[in-house]
This record gives sequence, C-alpha cells and structure tokens, in this order.
Amino acid sequence: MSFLRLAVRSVARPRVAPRLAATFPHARPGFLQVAGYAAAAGLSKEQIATRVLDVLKGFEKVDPAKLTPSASFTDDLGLDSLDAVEVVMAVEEFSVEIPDAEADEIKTVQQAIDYIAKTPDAH
Amino acid sequence: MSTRHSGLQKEVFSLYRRALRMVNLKPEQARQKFLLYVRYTFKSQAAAVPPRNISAIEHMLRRGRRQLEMYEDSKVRDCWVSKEMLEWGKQNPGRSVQSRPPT
Repeated sequence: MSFLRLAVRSVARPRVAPRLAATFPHARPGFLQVAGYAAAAGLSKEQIATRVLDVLKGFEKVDPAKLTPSASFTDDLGLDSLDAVEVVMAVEEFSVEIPDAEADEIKTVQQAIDYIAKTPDAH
Repeated sequence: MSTRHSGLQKEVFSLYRRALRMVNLKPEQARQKFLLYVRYTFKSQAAAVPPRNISAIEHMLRRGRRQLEMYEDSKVRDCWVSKEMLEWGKQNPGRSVQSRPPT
C-alpha cells in the first residue's frame, strides 16, 4: 500500500521542469510554449540558429573558429561596437525591424537567436 | 570592453542604424558605395575623437543627422567614394554576402 502511494506521488510530481530549466538556462517562464508556436508557424529554433550563424559567417572580421551561439560580439568575436550594430542590423533580414532599445540589448549570438525566435513575424 | 553603453553611445548607434537603413533603400548598383561611405565615415570619425570629448561627439552627431537627412532623400541615387575610402574598405571588409540566401 505504501509502495503504491509512493508511486502515485512520483507521478504527481514529475521531475521534468527542473531538467528543462537546466537545458535552457536563459529561458524565461513560458519560453517553451512560445518556441513551440514559432516552430509551428514556420521557423524552428535550429533553422534560426543556422541562419543567424550563416549571417555572421558572412562578416570578414568574424573568425569562424570562434563562432559559437554563446559568443559575445565584442568580447569573443573581436568586433567593435559599431561592427556589432552592423551584425544586429544584418539579422534584420529575417524581415523584422528591431527597435533601437531592443537592438542595444543584443550582445551575443544567442540573444540574436532568441530575439528572432520570440518574434512571430520573422521568416 | 564594458557591456553597458552610455546614452551618447546609444545615440551614435541609433544614427548608425538609421544610416545603414538608408543604404538599403538606395538603388542596387549604388548600395556598395553608400555602404562604404557610411562605414568609412563612422569608423574614421569615431577614431578621430577621444571618447570623453562629449561636446565634440554631440557636434558630430548633429552634423551627421543633417547629412543623413540629405542622403535619405530618394532623389539621391548615387554617391562618390574617394580612393582613400576604397583603400580603407579593402583593409576593413564588412559583410561579404549582401544578398539574402534563397530559402
């Protein structure tokens, strides 16, 4: 009987949530639902990541060996702040116009990917 | 490099973005020239002034805005680039692929 109660309790409290949070440390609450919706609409997270990385590879100054999703434009990729503005502008080819206030906050490759992922109009 | 930017820096970024958007509205064949002009002007002027000289930067911002307003006119279809700019462009290449890859 106590065994059954233990089993029921472990079903009632699934351990999925903390594990997902560990996989996506920057995830905001509700992030997974948003990503799912975006994927259904057209672009998957992987597609976005590949295309953002392709955009960055197009820049002569960017060393492809240092290019990772977590790389910071100025600290890791050796770009100055004006280059970083150019890079973020280039990401606008996903047919979105990034407002200044939000573009100023995009400082890493991952942040650019996340911004496109949470923008439903991007394609 | 600090990750926080001052208000003045943000104003420069905003002007740079506006200038880059202007480039995209120009005729295809002149776009490279406009882009070189914008990049060269911003980079060389940024290097020419010390970061703490706020009044000089503010002056350059005002001048830049006036210039950009002129360039944003759709009647401006082409621009002239000097030898010096082309030389600089060779040493500081920007983005190699401008067109969007077919998806």
